[in-house]
Amino acid sequence: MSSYLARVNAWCFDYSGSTRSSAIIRIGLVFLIWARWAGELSFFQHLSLNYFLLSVSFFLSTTLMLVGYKTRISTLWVSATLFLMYFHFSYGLGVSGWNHHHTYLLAWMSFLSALTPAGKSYSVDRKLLVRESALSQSPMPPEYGNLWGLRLIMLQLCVLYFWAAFDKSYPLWVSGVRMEYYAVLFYFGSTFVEPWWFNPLMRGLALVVLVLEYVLAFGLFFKRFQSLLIPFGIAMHAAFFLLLPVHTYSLTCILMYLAVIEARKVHEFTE
Amino acid sequence: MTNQLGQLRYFIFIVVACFILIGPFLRQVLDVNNILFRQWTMFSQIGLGVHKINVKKSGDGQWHNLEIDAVVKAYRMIPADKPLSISHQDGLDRLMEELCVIYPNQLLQITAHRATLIGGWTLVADRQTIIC
Repeated sequence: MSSYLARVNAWCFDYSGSTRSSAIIRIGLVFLIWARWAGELSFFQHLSLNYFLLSVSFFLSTTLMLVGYKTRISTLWVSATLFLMYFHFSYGLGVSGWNHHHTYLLAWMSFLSALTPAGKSYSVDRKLLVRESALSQSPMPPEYGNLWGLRLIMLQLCVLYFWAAFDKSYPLWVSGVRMEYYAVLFYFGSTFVEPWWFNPLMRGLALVVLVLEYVLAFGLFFKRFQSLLIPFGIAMHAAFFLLLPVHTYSLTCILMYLAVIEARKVHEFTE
Repeated sequence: MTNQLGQLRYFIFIVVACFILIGPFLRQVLDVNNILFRQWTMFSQIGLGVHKINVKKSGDGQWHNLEIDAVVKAYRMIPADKPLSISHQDGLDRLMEELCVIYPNQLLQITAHRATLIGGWTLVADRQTIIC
């Protein structure tokens, strides 16, 4: 029991390594955040003081996060801005579309990203450190840090899979009927005359998604299954992204896989 | 200083991990309606209310299937490559009104199943006759 706890403890807190995956998550997040909101928050869209201040905060903080200047603070600032939009503007003022799961995920991921050493690679912060060490003729600062924040991102990804699968664990999903709703709504229309293969196909797809989400929820924690499961997980999100209006949700999840892949491997790949 | 940072790290990790683990449980199992916690119920409301519809036209004392997709799209000026999705009761009512405009002085019969959360495709119009 104690050895098991020690392993959990080590998994959570003794994970150190290259900071490049954290940095790529940081940069990728900014692009996703811009893809979701930059158009809606351009200054000409809303001519009022609160939206003007929101837009200033949004563009300033995300730009700093992208270039990695005062990275931890700017990333927290981005998260605070997005949560302000989520809670105050959406739930408080009734702005539609800002309280979806994909918008929450972007805000929450920004917060989790602030817990990673995301400024130690691909950033102005690193550039300044390198310049400083060159001037003082000290050794180059390593792109290395404690990656416990990545563990939280991975935990979030697996928890998300578990509860998404839990939500689908009822007869109507398993029978494929819920999948039929999506097919009728987005593809075939209300006058669709079902061929014989329609329900079996929908049932098959529904079962694949359900089983895959449960397997990913637990399997991603086991290193020996990761190389098998990661491509399946990414393929599932790619399919969601291409087939359904999921906005930034799928791409955010794919970005989260960088927290699952060993930091050493990401570093070697980018070397 | 390093020790204090380590303790702070432990504290933040535990709090954030508990939030990640417990939040959806509160929302999805205990039904706690608090927006501070996030449920992961993606797409659970999407598609509800959409209909599967079959329309028949009277002729020669018999009912013949009527292909309404193209004509209703044309009437509504919906591009041909977009699906004609009829959702909720008001959508169905609107369709019936439009069918009467498109097919004046005709006897039509409509069968509609609506997508529901628990009951699946539920019959909401059982060979309902429309006299235009």
